[in-house]
Amino acid sequence: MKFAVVQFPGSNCDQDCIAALSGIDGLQAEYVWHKENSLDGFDAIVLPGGFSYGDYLRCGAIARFSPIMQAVLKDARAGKLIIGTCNGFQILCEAGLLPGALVRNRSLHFVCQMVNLRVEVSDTAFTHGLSAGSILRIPIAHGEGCYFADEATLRELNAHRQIILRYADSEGGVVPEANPNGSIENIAGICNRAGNVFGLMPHPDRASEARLGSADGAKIFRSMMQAISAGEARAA
Amino acid sequence: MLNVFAGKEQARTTFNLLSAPTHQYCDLVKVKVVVTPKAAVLDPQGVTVRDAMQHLGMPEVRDVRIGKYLEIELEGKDGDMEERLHGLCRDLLSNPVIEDYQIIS
Repeated sequence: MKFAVVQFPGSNCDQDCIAALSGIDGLQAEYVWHKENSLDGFDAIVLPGGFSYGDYLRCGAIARFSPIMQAVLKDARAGKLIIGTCNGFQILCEAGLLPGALVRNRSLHFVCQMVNLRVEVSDTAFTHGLSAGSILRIPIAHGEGCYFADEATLRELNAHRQIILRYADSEGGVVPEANPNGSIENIAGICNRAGNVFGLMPHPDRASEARLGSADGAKIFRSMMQAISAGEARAA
Repeated sequence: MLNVFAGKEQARTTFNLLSAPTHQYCDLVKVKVVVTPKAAVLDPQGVTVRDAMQHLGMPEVRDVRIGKYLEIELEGKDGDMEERLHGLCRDLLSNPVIEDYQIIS
């Protein structure tokens, strides 16, 4: 199974993603430069964290026009699994693949810390085998990670169970104190209506093995592998 | 003609600045664009600056919103220029989810 890690100018978690993915049995990962036009031959696409195009104008605003994004949009429509972490999440929102937007942290500070994430929905391609209410420990590192969506969008997200992860305390309580950036409803990660595009501010790539402080991030990548295998089994 | 008006659920994919008319432009026009956060969006930067203004002796300051100001120089004043500029503002210069924009000629 092969995952693509897209490199934009200014991506800086691309190597982390490659390392995290390559460490998983049965998984290969390859860089794809943003000037490429195709992602054919890849089972899933990763948009890594960083500061694509220096975060000029708005985070992710310019990366959206990179040639590779046409392939990302095409594959998203075709149902391929796509995960955007941190800046990747911002790019997915700017590209219109995910609703809402990410704005400046309420504290105005760049936050870099381990957080607890409560799994809200268990039967998605990204949370396969994780039970609803379970906690993932994954770090965040961002200045613009405050998720915003208008009321109508928020209602839709809740109604269609698109909110996958929320910032929580160690007991799983979704409380204001556990919200590191001011995100509306403590939202840390959402998926699209079809369930194949997932964006999250935390870095699963930085929590891929125990010696990094947590291996919970790898669970998300493993879940994607299982979903892809299950899909192939269904198609066969 | 520029077609950037994709629906909310639809990916914003039809952006194409290269679709400019082929005829020659002559006059140089300066356009100013102001982008501001929507009322519903929290602007912590504005709040911080407001607090500082109050602290510095202007307690009457009630609200500050911080946005962006762009000066764009372009050639010609073609008939559909304004429409294309609006497309540009909606699609690139502002994010309609969180921001409003104004074009000042």
